[in-house]
Amino acid sequence: MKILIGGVGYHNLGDYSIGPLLNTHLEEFVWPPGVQIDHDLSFGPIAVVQRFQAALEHYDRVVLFSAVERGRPPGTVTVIDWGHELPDEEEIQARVGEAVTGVVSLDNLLVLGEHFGIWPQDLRVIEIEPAEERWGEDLTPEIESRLAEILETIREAALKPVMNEKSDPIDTLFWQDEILQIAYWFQGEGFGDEFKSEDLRPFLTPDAPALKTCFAYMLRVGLLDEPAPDTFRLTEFGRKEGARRFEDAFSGMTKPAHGECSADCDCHATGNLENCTNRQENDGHTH
Amino acid sequence: MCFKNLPVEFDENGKPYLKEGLANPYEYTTVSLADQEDKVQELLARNGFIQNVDFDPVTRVAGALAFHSVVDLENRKVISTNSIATLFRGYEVILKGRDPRDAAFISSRACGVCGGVHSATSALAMEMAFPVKPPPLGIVIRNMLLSMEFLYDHPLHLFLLAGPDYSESILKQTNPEIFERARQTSAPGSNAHGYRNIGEIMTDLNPLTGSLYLEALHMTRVAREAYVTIGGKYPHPETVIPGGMQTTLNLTVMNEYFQRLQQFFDYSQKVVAIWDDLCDFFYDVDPRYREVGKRPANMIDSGIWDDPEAYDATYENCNEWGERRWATPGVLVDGEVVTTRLQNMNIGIEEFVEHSYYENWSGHEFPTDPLGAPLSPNHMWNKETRPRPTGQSWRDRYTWDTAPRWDRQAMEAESTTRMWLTAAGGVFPHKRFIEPTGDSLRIVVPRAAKPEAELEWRIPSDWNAFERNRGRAYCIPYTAMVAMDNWMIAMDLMKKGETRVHTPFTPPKEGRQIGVGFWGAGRGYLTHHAVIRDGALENYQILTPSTWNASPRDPWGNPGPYEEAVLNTPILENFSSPEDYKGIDILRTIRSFDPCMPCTTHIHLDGSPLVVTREVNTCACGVE
Repeated sequence: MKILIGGVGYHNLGDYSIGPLLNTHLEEFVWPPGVQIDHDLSFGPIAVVQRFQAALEHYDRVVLFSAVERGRPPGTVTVIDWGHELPDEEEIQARVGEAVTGVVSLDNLLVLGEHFGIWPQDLRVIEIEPAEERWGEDLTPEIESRLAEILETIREAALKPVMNEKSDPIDTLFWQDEILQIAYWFQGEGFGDEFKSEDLRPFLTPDAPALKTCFAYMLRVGLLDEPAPDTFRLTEFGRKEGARRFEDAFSGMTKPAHGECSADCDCHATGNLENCTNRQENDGHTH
Repeated sequence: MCFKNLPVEFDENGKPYLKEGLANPYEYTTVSLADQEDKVQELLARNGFIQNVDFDPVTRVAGALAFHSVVDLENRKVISTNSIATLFRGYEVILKGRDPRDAAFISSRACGVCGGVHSATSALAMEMAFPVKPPPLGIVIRNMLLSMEFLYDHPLHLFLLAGPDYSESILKQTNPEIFERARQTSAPGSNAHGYRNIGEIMTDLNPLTGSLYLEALHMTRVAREAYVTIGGKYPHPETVIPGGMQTTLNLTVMNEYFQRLQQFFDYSQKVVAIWDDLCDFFYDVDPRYREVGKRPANMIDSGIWDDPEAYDATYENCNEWGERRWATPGVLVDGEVVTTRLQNMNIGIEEFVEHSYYENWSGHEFPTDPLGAPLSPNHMWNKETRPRPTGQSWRDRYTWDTAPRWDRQAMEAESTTRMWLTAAGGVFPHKRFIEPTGDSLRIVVPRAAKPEAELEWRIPSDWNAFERNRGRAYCIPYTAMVAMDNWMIAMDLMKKGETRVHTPFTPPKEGRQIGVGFWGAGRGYLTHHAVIRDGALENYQILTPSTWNASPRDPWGNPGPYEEAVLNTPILENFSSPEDYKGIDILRTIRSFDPCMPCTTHIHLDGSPLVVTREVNTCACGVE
C-alpha cells in the first residue's frame, strides 16, 4: 500500500509553518514499507497537481496536515472527514487564480487536487489550530507542548486501515459496529431517522476513518440507505443490527445494577423480598 | 527637454540641473476631492440608474485589489472610480536594519509569482551600493533565469486570468450576440493556431475546461522547470545574489533549459495569432471596443536584461548600460519616447501619499542623485514608509497603494512598454532575433515543430485593454528570443572558458552607500532603492508595476491608470435590468493591466515578534 504524508504551508510563519516543519519530525518515525513523507506539498497547489499528474505511481492514501485558523482553542487537532466535494466553478477558478499567483493553502490544495482528480478516495486531512502569527520557524509554547500528540494523530491517521473490501476485516467490522450503534441510539433518542456524517462525528473517537467511506461500504452491504444526497438512515436490516449491537454493548448498563431490580421482578408480586432473584444474582441487593 | 512639470532643466551637455530662482522648487498644493465626491453622491441620490458598482475583491488577479466605481447604466458610462489596494505590503519596514546581503532573499517574498525579479532587482541595488560587478556569465544567466519567469507569467495572465473574459461562457452571459457572430467569423490566424473560427477560440478559452486554459497551465510548468535549472527553486530562487549568481552551470543545465525554452517557439506563434484574431474581431464587431480601457500611452519602464559587455553596476554609467539592455528603459508620453536614459527616468519619479494610508514625511536627505542631478523630497531615496491606517473615504484616503508619478504625470507600467520603448527608442543593439523598426518590433522565431516565422508587433494607434493583452501575447516570443540570444552567448562564454558566475565582494561596514536596482517584473517597471548606513539597511523602497497602475488620485486630483482607464470605458455589455449587469467591460479593463497586488499584508509591529496577515480594509460598499 502506497501512502503519502505531507504538510502544507509557508515557511517562517511560526505556528502557521507547522505543515512543512513537521515533515522533518515525521521522518524520524519508523514507517512500514510504502509510506513516503513529502516535503514538496507546499510548492503551490498547481505545482502539486502537475507533479501528481506526471507521477508514474499513484498513492492509495494521502494524508495532508496544516495549520488552519478556524477559531478553535490553539493546539486543537481536528481530523477532517474530507468529502471530496467541490465548490462551484467560479470558486474553483478563483482558487486556480490564487494558486498560480503564489497562494499556498490547504483549502486550495484540496479543492484543486479534487478538481484535477489527483486524490485517491482515501484522503485524510488533519488541521492544527495555530496560536498566533509570528516570524520564524519556532512554534508557540501552546503548539510545542502538544507536538507529540499532533505527531501521533498524524501517524495514526496515516496507518489506520480504511473500511473497504481491501482493508482489515476486523477493523472494518469494528467501525461498522460503532456507526450502527450510534445511529440506532440517535434514532432512539428522537433526533430523527435520518442523519448526516457531521451528526455522528461528535460521538466517534478522533481516529475514526472518513465517514463517507464507511457509509459507502454500509450502503453497499444494505445496512444504510440514502434518501437524499449525503443524508442517510438505517435500513430495517441496519436497524435490527444496530439494536443488537447496542444491546450487546450496553447490556451491563441496561440490566438492573447494584441495589436495583426491575418493575417485573418477582419480589414485587410475591412480597418475598428475602428471595428476590436479583438479590440472589447481585450480592448486596436490598429494598 | 523631457520634463514639463518638474523644476529640472538640462545644460548643453544634457546634464540635468535644478531650475534656479525657485524658493520651494518641489512644492505643491493638494486639491480636495470633496467637491467631486459631493457631486457623485448627489447623482447617486437622485438617479436610480446611477449605481455604485463595487468589485471586492477583483477576482482573477494576483493579490488583494478592490475597485469602486459609480456607473450610469442608462447612459452607459462610468462616472467615478477608485482603485483600492486592500493590503499593506510593508517590506520597506521589514527590511530596515537588516544586513543588505539578505535583501535579495527577503524582498523576493514580496510576490508569489515573480519573486525572482525582486531578488534580481535587489541584487542590482546592492551591486551598485557595495559596489561589485558580476562576471559576464553571471549577467547572462541572470537574464536567462528572469526571462523564464516572464514565460511563466504571460501565459498565466493571458489564459488563466484575463482570457476567461473573452470566453464563450462569459460572452454567453454578457454579449451572446457577439459569441454567435464569432461562430460565423473565420479566424485569419488559422494556420498558426488551428482554429477555424473565432467562436472555437472562445470555447477553448473557457475556464477550467477549455484547452487553451489547460494548455497555459501546462506551459507554466514548462517555464517553471526551465527556471529551476538555474534558480534552484521557484518562485523564490536561492541563486540570485549581489555580484552575480551562485549556480553551477554546465552543458546538462544548458540543454535542459533549452529543451524547455524551445517549446515556447511554437507556442508563441499560436498565442500571438489567437490574440491578434480576438482583438481584431472585437474591433470589427463594435469599434467602441477600442475605447475599453483606453488612456493616453503615458508609460514608464526601467528596462531589463543586461548586456554582459556593458553592465558595470554603477549609477555613473547607468545611461550607457541601460540603453544597451535587451529592453530599452525610458518614458513614453502620449506614445512618444521622451527619454531612454535611466537617470532621467529615475530623477523624474516622485511618490505621493495624500490619498493613501500613510503619513507624509519631511526629510530631504538626498537633494541630488550620485551624478548631482536634482531629486524631489518625494523621490524614493528620500521617501519614508510610515503606515497610518485610517477609515476609508473617497474624499480623503482609500488605499494602501501610493501615487507614483513621473514628471507629475500618472504613468502606466506594462510588459508592452518594454517592446514599445525598444521599438521606438532607436538605441537597441542586440539584433540577432529582434529588429526594431521605429514603429514596430520584428521578432524571428526559429523553427521547432513549426517552421521559422517572423512576427511583428506594431505600436498601436489606441492604447486600450485589447492592446494590453495583444502586447502581452507578443511579449512571449520577444522574451523567448531574448532568452535564446542569452543562451547562445552563455554557450560562447562557456566555450571560451569564461565560466565564472559570481564576483566575490565584501560589503562595507561603515559609512553611507546608496544603490538602485533598475529591472522589471512580468508586468513591467520595477525598482528597489536602498540606503545603507554602517553595514545595515537604513531605507529600502520597492516600486512595483502595480504600484504605478493601481495608484490612487495624486495631490492634484488626477486618477491613477486603473481609475483613468475605467473612467474612459463605455458600457457595452447587454443587460435588461441593473440587477443583470455584470460589469464585464470594467473587469476587462482592470484585468488587462495584469494586476499583481501584494499577496498578504505583513505588518511588523515595533518591539514585537507578532505579524499580522489579515486584510485591513476590504469592503468598499457603503463607504462615503
